Amino acid sequence: MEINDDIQNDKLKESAPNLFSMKKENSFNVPDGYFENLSNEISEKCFQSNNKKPAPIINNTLQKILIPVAIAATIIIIILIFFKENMNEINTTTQYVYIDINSMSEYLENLIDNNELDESLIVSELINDDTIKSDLQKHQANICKTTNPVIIKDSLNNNTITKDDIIQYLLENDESDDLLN
Amino acid sequence: MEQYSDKELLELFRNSDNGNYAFNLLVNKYQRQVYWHVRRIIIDHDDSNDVVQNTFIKVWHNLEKFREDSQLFTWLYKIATNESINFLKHKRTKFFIPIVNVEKHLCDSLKDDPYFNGDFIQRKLQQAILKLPEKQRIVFNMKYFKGIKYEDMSKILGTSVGALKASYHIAVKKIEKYLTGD
Repeated sequence: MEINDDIQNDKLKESAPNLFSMKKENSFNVPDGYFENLSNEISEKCFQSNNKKPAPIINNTLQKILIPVAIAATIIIIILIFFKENMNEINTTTQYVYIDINSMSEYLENLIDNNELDESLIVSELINDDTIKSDLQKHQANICKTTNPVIIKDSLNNNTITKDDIIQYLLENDESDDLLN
Repeated sequence: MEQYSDKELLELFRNSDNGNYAFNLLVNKYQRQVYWHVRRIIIDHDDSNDVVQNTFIKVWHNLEKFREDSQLFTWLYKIATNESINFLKHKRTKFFIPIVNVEKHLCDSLKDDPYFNGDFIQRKLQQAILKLPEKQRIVFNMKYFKGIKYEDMSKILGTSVGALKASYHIAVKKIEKYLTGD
């Protein structure tokens, strides 16, 4: 019988009378002849597993070194990729900070002065820009109401806007910075 | 069959040309103890059979390294306990059984188990035991049914004697409460 009598019965009786009153019997059982065959079954499996045990490709010592090295290398690669991406973001941000509107204007003026850029191209681009165009038309419509509607109306109908008109518009319209930014 | 002491078995295993014979003797000596220890944790016979076989396969592969720092039976129980706990853990993961439902699952399997022949009271006791946390359940089974000494249990479970005593005391209280229906 598997139940050992070396149990502190007195303490059990005191603290758990119901449990103490119960028979300590084994309610589980096994199929007939189970234990007679078990040892043979186990031995067979053990000897089979021993014969079939494949030689390790990497021995244990090497494995103990390689696994931490591989983990460390992976972590370093992840950190490097992360920093590389962040550095790119930082550089891009820096470029945005240092190129302000005045530098851009100076740069464009230099190009125009050195005949490297056709001023009329910029004007035509500005005229074709829908936002600027609508702003310009609103502005002209306002002037038309207040001062000389006939001239503006004509200029709108003809769709001919001169450089002076644009300069005039830009000088009068404080929103030019917003448009350029 | 002649019953060898642990020391004799180990010597026979190490010195004899036929270690298989010594291992066979060892299995014969301990198979019942190991089986019943595992069965009380796993409950189901077929699963227990798998765990017992895995336990002895591990023993076979590591017996040569066993240095007799502890007794052979505590070493065997330690392997069997770990195998049982790992088996239940694996079962939970495999069948997505939530931890809270493990005891319910084991209780259900007990109802339909053809190899459980306990009466109503014994079934109720098993249900009460299954309601205990896993480690407490192992401690209770080892102490109540097997009467294993706390010192040996401490070596098997890697827990201090004081903690084991406390654990057993709490388990007894919980089971008593369940049995009285409070």
